[in-house]
Amino acid sequence: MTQSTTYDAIVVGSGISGGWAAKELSEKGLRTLCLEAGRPIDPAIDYVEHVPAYERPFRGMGDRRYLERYQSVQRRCYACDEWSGKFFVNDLEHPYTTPEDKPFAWIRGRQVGGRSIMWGRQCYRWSDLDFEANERESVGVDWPIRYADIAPWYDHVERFVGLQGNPERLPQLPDGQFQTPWPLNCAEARFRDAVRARFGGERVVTNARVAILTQPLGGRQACHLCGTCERGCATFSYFNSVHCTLPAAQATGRFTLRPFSVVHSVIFDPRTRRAAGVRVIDANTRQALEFRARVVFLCASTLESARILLNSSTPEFPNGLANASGELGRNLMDHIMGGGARGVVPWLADRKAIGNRPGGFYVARFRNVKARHPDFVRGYGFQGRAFRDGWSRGQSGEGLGADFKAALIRDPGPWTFRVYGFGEHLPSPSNRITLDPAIVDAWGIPALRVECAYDDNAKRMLKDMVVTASEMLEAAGATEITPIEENNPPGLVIHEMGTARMGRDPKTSVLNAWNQCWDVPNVFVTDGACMTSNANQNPSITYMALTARAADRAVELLKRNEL
Amino acid sequence: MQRREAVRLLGVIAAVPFLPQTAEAASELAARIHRDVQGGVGFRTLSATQQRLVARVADAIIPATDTPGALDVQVPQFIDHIMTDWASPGERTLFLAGLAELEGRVAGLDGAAFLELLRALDRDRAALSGSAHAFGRLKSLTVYGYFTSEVVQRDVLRTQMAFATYTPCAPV
Repeated sequence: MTQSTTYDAIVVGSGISGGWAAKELSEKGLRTLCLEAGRPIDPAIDYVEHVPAYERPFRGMGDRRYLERYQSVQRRCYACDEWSGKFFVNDLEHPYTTPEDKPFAWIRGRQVGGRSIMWGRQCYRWSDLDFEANERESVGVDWPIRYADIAPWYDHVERFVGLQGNPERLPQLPDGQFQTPWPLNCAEARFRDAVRARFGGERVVTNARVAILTQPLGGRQACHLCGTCERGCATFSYFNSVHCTLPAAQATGRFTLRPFSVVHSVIFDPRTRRAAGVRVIDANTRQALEFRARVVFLCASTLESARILLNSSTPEFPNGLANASGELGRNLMDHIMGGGARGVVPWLADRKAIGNRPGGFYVARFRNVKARHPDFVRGYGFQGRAFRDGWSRGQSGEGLGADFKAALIRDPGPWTFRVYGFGEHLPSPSNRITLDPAIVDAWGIPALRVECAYDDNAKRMLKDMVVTASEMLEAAGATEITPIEENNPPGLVIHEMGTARMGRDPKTSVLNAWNQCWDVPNVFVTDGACMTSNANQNPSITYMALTARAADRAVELLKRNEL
Repeated sequence: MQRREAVRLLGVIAAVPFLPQTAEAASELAARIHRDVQGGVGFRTLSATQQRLVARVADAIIPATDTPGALDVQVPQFIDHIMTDWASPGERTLFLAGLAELEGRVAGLDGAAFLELLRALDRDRAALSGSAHAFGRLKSLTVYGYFTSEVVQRDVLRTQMAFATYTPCAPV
């Protein structure tokens, strides 16, 4: 037996994109239902950022046996620790397959707020260098939008998010609506100046642009510098759905949030050629339910949104809903991460920073901005910080006895730099997801087969990251420079994008310039699935801007009776 | 306050507790709760002899001075807890074998000779097996267990959780 309830809009997912869809659609007058597959979150209970290590059973080392058994994939993410592990899925309940030679680490959070609870909070605008790249190089398809189309929406979301940053007037990294950032610590400031002296304006070190308040905003307090945002935030200082967008939606009186609602598929009405609603499996009772609405926003995350469409086949769309182009599931990308360097500096040993600032410095993309690089197209940015190891260096360092102990208590150790790159991964139709015919998840929904690998362009970029990071550390006078050259599987960066790309032509893309399915115009996909290329910037702020823009469009079309 | 109330309301829309999805997950949950309650008191892996050796080594690495030492904050119990509930069977076997070897080497050594041996092992602490390996594990866990303990965090390091402002440059 099924139940049916009707709304103006259904939003699937309550993470960073779903939260924005919920807020914008409700505020613009639509009775909106948000379906979240996971459990509710109560900040008073679930936020644990102030729980000290000695109150955890393994003092922060993690419940290794549990992790190995139930979170063998999730545990590869740094944030899946003894505090925040509960915000990551149980891998046994969420199976997926890959070819043996193409590992993919799919990092997921299923709860109200999704991964916005433990996201990295770094926000960098894209520029026309990014939006025009596919067309310029004849790679994939052209983006149907340019920077001018999205710029006002970046403004709109950044004002609500609360983003700190330093204006740099770089064409490849546009400035945003910034709160005054925390200053770089003295070691980082010296590094910035040394890089400027050596590389002129070519390589620019700036403050990390992070969605963390330095001034109060909309009832949220300025950050109190405890440093572990991925565990929650008692003062609501960093941006997430739970304490920002969902309460705003709730305040309209038109919003309903339904946790434990696993969306199975979209219901297609062949008579109107529109979506009629969605099929849901109640996560606790396993009851099949149906919810109906005039418009559906898929914001379930890149792979989950595409999975829902793939699982919504009809006689009209035998290969997945809205897949007349055959592009649904294709062109999966993730940034390539893990090239860079570490180094120790001999200076400023008598100076330290006070406060656990979550965020360090950022080096804006400098490859293929002006001069063309001979080895690869596109580029990368660096995230980094300067820190002092404190007592933890005693775990592997030499020494014992009273002097050893006293030094670990008194002396924070030398300033150490870590400069870590994130580079672009070109879209390719062979990097794709399909439904695995043999495997279902804990709710009986077909699981995904993920086939994705980095191309040679990305691998050459990773090698260049090692060289340029080392050069910058050397310019700053670092010693003991150690290259970082990791071999991470795609997925682990958690910037997965593509699988339902936007484009200008329904024959070669799934979504139009408004994130609207060409084939089923009342279905919008506004999470990472929509991305036509992946640039090198952390993508969440772009999902937020595209979501707000698409919601505005959807409401306008509804008013004109054009959906 | 109002905002927090609103957020709390979001949480009670579905007040059904989050149920483990499989019987295996349910029993694992029960085991975890049990472990949490136990809190690692007492010894479950180290024999009485091994406990004495571990305590002697931990005390040499971090002795009591004007501040508490490793033994004051139950570092040997922490090491036993990690070896019992965290280490893999292979790691535990390797550690205990190294500990047995170390036991033989320290037998009869006086304080100075004991320290001299530990300093030699310290130079080889990354060894993959044997007494140097056991020492390397002991050292790493002693430092970690000591500095993450409540007494040291609170009274020695005076770790601060929250800051009114960020100070980018201050004297050490």
